[in-house]
Amino acid sequence: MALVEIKNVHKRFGNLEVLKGVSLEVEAGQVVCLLGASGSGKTTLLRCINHLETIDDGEIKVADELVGYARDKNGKLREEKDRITSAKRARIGMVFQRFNLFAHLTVLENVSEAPVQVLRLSADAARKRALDLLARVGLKDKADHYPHELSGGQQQRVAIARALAMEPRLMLFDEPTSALDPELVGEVLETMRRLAAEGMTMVVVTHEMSFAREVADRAIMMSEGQIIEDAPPEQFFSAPSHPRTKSFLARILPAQN
Amino acid sequence: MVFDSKAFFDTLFSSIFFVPALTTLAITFLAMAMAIVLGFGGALAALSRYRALRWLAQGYLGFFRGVPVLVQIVFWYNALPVLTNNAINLPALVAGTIALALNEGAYMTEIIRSGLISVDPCQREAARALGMTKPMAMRRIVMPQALKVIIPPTGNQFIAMLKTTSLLFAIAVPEIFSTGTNIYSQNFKYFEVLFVVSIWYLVLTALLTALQKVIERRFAVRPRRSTVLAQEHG
Repeated sequence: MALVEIKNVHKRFGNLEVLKGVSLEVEAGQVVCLLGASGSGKTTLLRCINHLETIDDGEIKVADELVGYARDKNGKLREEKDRITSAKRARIGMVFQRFNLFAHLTVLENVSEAPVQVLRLSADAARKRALDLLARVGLKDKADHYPHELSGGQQQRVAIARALAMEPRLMLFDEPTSALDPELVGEVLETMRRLAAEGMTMVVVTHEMSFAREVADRAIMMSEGQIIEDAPPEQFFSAPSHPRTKSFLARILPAQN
Repeated sequence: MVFDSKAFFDTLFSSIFFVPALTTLAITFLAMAMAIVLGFGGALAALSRYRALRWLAQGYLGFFRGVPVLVQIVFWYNALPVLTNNAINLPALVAGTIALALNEGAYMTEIIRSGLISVDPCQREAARALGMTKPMAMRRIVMPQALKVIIPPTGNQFIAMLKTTSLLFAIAVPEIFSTGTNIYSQNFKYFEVLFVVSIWYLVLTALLTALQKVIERRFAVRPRRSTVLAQEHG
């Protein structure tokens, strides 16, 4: 059984259908990179996985459980109670493009807040866990700073520590380096690389082709709301099968190297 | 103009305004407390995804902001007993406080609503992604940040409320201004008495202003605490 099972998911924003029947399975421990032009639906797909977006058709399971929905006795999907969805979300980490650290809390409090509130950890245990994680991302000395005192790269590393504090079984990354100055991209990618090496299951929406090539187990190309290519990176980058993948790579790769 | 300094100082230093000043303060704090609770409810309703609640908030806002507060005060004290055949006949103090609170609640609804929408929606989304429920995200993440926007205008409303309590003289609540009117209707020293009344209001508003400063400082970005050091040394 795959950790993430996405079956025939459709998503509309008004008249615009942004996901047109997407199916995808991610095994535990895999790192999957979602690539594609903007507007291809990759961020929406990621946000559907932890139910930050509703879906209009199909189903998404994480660890064999529907997220955000429950089947009624007729087999129809209904939105489930917020409390239940929240408990499932707690085990799915998410890292945002714009970090979204809590502006009124220190770095340490950012990381320990949800473990205390959601997991009911004691303040001491949560603080210890937070400091350990901050040490892991190399920011223990910033524990008492506020987010606005940190660089973008540091903020994103704190955001990763904040997500890890919930001991997630799956991490979702939504363009984690797109809002960063070029010189700060490396430290965030390095943190993600180490996480991948530790065996974390990761779904990463990114434009960082080098990361996809070196770290991912699978590179997935999305176009117009559909998955058009799903291959190991060696094959994806050297011998893509779909013409739109070819033209996408032709456009993006010279600019990167 | 002849300024009767004796009448002025006698009134200024008489103890006759002590209880009315306390009454004024009590009405101010009670009405504001009720208004803030109403304002939270109103703001949440105004931002609700349910249309009926949004309409309810709109209706409340429209009505209570649209009708003069003096009319509302007299309604609660004089009209309500007639309307209900004396089933509801509130003491002036109670009727006046309720009228002020309901009216103020409409303004607080707008102030709290604007505080809530000033917080980047991404903050709430990040909280939700960590598994916080909606009420938890509101209480722990959105509201503390909204308070920074809510507190300054609320201080303003407090001071405005302190002065608006003077309208309760119309239903004979023994607050500062009505106490003054009682005095000058006997000694006809309008200017001297109103001068004293003004001084009382000025002192009380100065008090509230100082209180506001303290509260604003409390909710500013907190100073750094040395958690890391505390842990490593302890």
